Amino acid sequence: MTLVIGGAGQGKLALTLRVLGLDPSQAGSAPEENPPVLNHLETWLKTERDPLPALEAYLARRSDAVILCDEVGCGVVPMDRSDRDWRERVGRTCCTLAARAELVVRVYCGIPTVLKGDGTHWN
Amino acid sequence: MLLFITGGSGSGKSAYAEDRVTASGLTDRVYIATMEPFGAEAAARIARHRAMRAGKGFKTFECPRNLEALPVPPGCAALLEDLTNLFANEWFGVSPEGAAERVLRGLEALRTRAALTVVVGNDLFADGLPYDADTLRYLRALAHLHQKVAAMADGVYEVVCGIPICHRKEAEL
Repeated sequence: MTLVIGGAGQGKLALTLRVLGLDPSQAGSAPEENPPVLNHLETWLKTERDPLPALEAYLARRSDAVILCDEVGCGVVPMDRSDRDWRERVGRTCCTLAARAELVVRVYCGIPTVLKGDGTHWN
Repeated sequence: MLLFITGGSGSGKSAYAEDRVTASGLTDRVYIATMEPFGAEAAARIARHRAMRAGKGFKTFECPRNLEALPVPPGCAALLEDLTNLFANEWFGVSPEGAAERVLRGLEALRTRAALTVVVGNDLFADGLPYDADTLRYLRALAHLHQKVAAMADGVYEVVCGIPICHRKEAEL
């Protein structure tokens, strides 16, 4: 599994599709739909309070999945409790995914930096 | 030796900071807690961090403000968690005037006594949202403090998804 992270609008999806030679139809937004590229994990996490079982099941079906998630933790603590919980959940879920990913890539201004694994084909 | 470790919410920065302390080989370990336990959410956060530290041999010092006067044992490994709370307590609880200087004096005193000082900071500077003038003033002062702490630190690390990104590498301890 590959985890691709970065701020909003940094070009994660475009880069992922280019590197892997995929087209946009292969990106989906829910693990239940079993997409090769799971895009916007942070949006799915808005309503998923206990995300790991569904993600485990997805990865069991698709061990070569590429998961894309916005980094959302680098701001002022939100006023709203549910926003705080969501932000924390996105961070913790990404820590868990990064620990078991073969490859972790961070995209900044469209430029990839490999944080973990052999990502020479990403550079 | 001073290490400055930053990251966003839920980035794994605390776990990495603890690892750096336990990996140092220093056995006299001090945890400097800065959060005032107001409300259930703060209590839950404190309980979570306590559970993470359990069995790692940390002695806890409560220090919501006035770090300069904290009598940590000489030669210890000190983990300060975190810069953001300490600064907020000095800024909102004492006075914005001189808040950064008080924190910096405290860090200087701490690093002088401790063999290893690990400071955890929260990256609050990249949400692009508009805030009122008072909040912006506070954020700007905190960001400036981060620059000062990074400048005095031997090593500077940003933790992303539990993975440390090195911005400055310290010499061997």
